Amino acid sequence: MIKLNGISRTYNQGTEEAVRALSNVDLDVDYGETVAVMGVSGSGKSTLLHIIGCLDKPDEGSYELEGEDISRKLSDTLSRIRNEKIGFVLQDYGLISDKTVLENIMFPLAFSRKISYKEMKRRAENTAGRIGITALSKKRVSELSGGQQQRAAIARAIVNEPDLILADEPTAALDHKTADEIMDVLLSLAEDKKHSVIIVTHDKRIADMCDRTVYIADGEITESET
Amino acid sequence: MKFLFIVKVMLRDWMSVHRRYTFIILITMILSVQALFFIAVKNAGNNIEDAFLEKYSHSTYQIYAHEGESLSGKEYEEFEKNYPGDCPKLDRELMDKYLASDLPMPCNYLGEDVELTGLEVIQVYAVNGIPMYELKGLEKPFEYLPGFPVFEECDRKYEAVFNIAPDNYRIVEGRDYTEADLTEHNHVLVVNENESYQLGDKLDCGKYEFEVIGIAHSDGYGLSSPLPYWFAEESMSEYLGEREFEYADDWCTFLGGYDCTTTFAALTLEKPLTRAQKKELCGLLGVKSSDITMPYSDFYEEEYAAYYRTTIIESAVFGLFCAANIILAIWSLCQKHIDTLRTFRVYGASAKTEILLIVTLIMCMTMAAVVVGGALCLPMQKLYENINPIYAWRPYCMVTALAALVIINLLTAIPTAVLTVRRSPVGK
Repeated sequence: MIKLNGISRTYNQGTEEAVRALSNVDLDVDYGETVAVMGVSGSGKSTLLHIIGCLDKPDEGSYELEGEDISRKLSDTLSRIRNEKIGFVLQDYGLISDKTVLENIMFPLAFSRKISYKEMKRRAENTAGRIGITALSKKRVSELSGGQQQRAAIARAIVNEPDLILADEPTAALDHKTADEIMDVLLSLAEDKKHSVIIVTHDKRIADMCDRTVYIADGEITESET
Repeated sequence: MKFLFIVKVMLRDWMSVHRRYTFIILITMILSVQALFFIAVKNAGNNIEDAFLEKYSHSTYQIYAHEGESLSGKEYEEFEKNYPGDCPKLDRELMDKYLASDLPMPCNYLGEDVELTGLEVIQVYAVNGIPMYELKGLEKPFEYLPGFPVFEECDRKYEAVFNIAPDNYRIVEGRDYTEADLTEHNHVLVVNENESYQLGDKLDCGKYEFEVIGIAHSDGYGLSSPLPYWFAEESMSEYLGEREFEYADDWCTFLGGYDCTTTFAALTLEKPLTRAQKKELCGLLGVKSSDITMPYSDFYEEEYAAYYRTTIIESAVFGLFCAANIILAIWSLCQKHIDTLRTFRVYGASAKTEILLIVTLIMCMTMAAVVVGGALCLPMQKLYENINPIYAWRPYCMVTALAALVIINLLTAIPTAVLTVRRSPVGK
């Protein structure tokens, strides 16, 4: 599914404040696999997630997504790839608080050129049904609990049927019970639809639910356990 | 439809932030600025008027009276015999009311022997003090001549208004009158350029024939713009006979006018009227206060400009206060937009789409500004017009308000665009 070879990323390159965020990172993720990325703050987790999510480009190395090297693609191409093949679940949910759940789920489809507004709505309704939040569809996000908002965020992440789901500490703001429910949803996506899921977390308990855990420190992958 | 769906989110950002932080401030600011201008304009009128009255306190209101006021009772009777129908009956009752009121007494501009009680006050013509008729440098000052026979056969109104104050006009064609014209008893006319006369035209006014020697431009001092000017000392002397007019040194102004059916002369008040007195006078004379107008003078312009400057300073101070509030609100709005755009970017919005959204946002809000501003402008403009039509600058206030709204939009959009580009879309 994804294959990172020798990925390096240095911020403020060529200056005295240069920071090497990632150094020679290799990582393979298969279809349907769930991978947890763990590490302390500043270890390079977010940079790795940015590069995998096509929000940033590596300085060195190659990034293959479904067999295609996208590490040198133009910004517009990366935007399209991000829209069609990658879904994001963020710690702060990243929802538009004064819009309804259904409208929020529709957003990624709005940036896709392929489908009409009517189709957008239909797909969003179907996705809400899959995640079990149909009853919340017409509610504004600001009226939902944290768990409900994260479910809505997951629904939004998968509405485009992406191959890869990137979750940046999706359970950090939730209690254990709700976190488990959210993880169930994410893991079931990997099982049912063969989405690949990469979860950045500080929580070992969450990491243990995944197929594999990758540890990162000082920009390097130090350990990988299954 | 899809794009509209996205734009609506951005617009909602704007509204939601303004709901929380700015909307009330913004609307309050617009209304307050309008109100400030409104008050300033209104006060400007009053204050300038007060200043004007103060400056010309010795000669403020000129009250026109029907003919006869400069005549003694006997002269008046004689006049009535000669020109029956031309002289309305004196309204002694009205004049008595005036004299019995608390209004300032008129100064004795015609000499001590004038019977003021013989005046019939018929009109308050103007609130001014501009000496339209200064009788300087003449051995025998010209005077208003009630029913002066030369003009008996003329059918033009105000044809015989005369003026010996060249400061009030400038010659645009032909020549001005000279001392020789006056002393050699030439019958010449300097006419207003707006009149239908041409140079060399002859005016047959009965006993005398006048020739137009000059076309003059009046500076618009109002009151019959004292043109055409005619000079015929001979005829005046003939009419006046041996009558001598006494003029005190402080004889301030004299306004004279003539039409072929009604003649009148001016009465100058010694002191300015207060607003209450003005109101009382209006009531007494049965005229509206709007009939008492100020002439458009240089003084007025200067005062007005001074007041305008003050208004600008006040507005600037007020504007700074508002600006401080608005900057905070703009910052909040930027943050909101950035969050929204960040979310959009995560879900596949390209940089082009983000720029397009910001541009669309600016356009939408600018259009909204024009609509809202326009809606405020029109009624406000009507309001200003009702205050005083000379406030020709009032639309600039509206334009300023509109511009402010547009600038606010730009101030919001530009940092949003810059910060969105610079900020990481994932994680805060």
